[in-house]
Amino acid sequence: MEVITLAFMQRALIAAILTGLVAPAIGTYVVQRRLSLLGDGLGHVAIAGVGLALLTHTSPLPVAVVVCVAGAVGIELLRERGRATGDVALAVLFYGGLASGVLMAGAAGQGAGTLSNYLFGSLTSVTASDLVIVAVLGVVVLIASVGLAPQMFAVCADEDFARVLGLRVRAYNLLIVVLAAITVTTAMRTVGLLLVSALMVIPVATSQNLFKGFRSGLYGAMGIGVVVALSGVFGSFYADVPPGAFIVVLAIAAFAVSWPITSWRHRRRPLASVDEVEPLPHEPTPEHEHVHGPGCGHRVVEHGDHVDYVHDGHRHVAHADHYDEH
Amino acid sequence: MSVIPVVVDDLNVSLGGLPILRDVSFAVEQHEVVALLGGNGSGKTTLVKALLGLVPHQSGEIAIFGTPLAQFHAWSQIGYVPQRASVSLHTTTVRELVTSGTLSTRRPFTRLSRAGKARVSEVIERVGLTKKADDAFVHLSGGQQQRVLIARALVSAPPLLVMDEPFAGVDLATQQRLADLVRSLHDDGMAVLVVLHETEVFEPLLSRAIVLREGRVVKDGVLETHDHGHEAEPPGGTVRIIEEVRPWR
Repeated sequence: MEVITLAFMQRALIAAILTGLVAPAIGTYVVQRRLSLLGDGLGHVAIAGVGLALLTHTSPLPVAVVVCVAGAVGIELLRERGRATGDVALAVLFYGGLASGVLMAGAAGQGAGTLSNYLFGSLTSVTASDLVIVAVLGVVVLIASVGLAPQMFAVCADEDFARVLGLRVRAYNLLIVVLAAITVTTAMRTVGLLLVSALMVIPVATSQNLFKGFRSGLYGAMGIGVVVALSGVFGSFYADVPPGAFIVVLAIAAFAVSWPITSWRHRRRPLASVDEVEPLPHEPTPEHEHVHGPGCGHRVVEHGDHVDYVHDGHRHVAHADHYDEH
Repeated sequence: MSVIPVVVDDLNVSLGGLPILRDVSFAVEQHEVVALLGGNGSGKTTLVKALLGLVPHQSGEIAIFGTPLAQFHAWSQIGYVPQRASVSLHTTTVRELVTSGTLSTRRPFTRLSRAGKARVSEVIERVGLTKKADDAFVHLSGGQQQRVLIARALVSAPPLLVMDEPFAGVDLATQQRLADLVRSLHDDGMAVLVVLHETEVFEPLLSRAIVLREGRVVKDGVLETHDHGHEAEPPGGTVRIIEEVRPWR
């Protein structure tokens, strides 16, 4: 365990813990909005930010955060106004961001080797100042993802219902993509811009296989994210491969292990009966002198194993010495 | 307090330049159960969405509990039951979905109070799903899912319930259960506006029906019944027979 005494590994491990917590946390909402590939598109936009930073000789992380957040807001506004379908918007993000990033990096005299540190992660590239930015932004994303979970859950599950609740749906939708953009860029040192989307989506899917309920799934995904991110960083150190690849392969392995568990659970679950609900409260009709029967002149409605009689806003059936409303 | 829950006056709605609702006027009084009837494309769902502010209107007035829609913020007074809920995280439980109905009165970064949790359990019990409260929503039958959506709308104890085709894809026996549930809510004093394709099991509950055709109100009145001399006329003697309702029955 000498490895954890190394300063660069300590920084990489702290960054991995934060990324492992944050990526699946915001990923839970991204998956729920059926935008699983949003992280991938934002990763490509962040590449433009890295290229711009290399071109202007500034620190890549802050520039990438700003560019990626701006791209995320733009794409959400386009999506909201219906001027671009989700697919087209993501395609613009993919190719525009990647192409401009590579162009600017090339113009700055940086080759593919430099960019690959940001695309797949690099243990040695996490600087102390990077770690401060990752920690601050990571805590912000975590507080929002957990503290606003009820509101963001409602918006992702049913936008119309959320509006009728009086929630600021547009603001929450924007918040989700901005938090996703921040997450993508802060993860570029560990899991990398091209693979971060996997850490946003796969732990969420794995957690869905293991835990019941939205909130349990959220915390479960964060736990799985931390385990695979930390394991991936250690694995990357010993295998001398980019950490992003190791983390994602571990995440997929965890998902594969969880798959039979959910299948087993589904087999054990009894088939739901259409009528499998408790009866509604027994409600007698007050004072009913008329006796219903065939030919009494009231409308008859078949109801399960009996018939109800309809009149004067009532639909009821005889029960012992009284009538019950049905 | 005798504020009319819904007043729509001369409403016009166009979507994508296409007129959907034309000069629509109607009201839902307190303690009324009003059906919105009409064929496919008649504008029923658009009307419901317009009066909830979910689609913009080009002209006309909408007032909810006496407040113009643009100034209306007391959203806990409206319970909205959409046709269906799109729940993509398949482990979301009934209790979690119903709990989201508390958000009209909850501030961000606050936990649900003990009273709030009790209210969630109470409405789940009311719709007869206590044993299913911690089950995944997507594993329920269509009728049970509809009950969950009703429970979610009821959490804030709203005086107005707006339901958009609650019977879509639901078998007859379950329709009767849902109608029973709505009857008990109406008995508690709730006003109900419900979009229906067919009146059928809802018919005994309806105070009034509004028929839309091509975006216009073509009929608004009390349904004719099959009773023979037993039906009491509503106050004011404003009974109107809606012949056009029959084709949808």
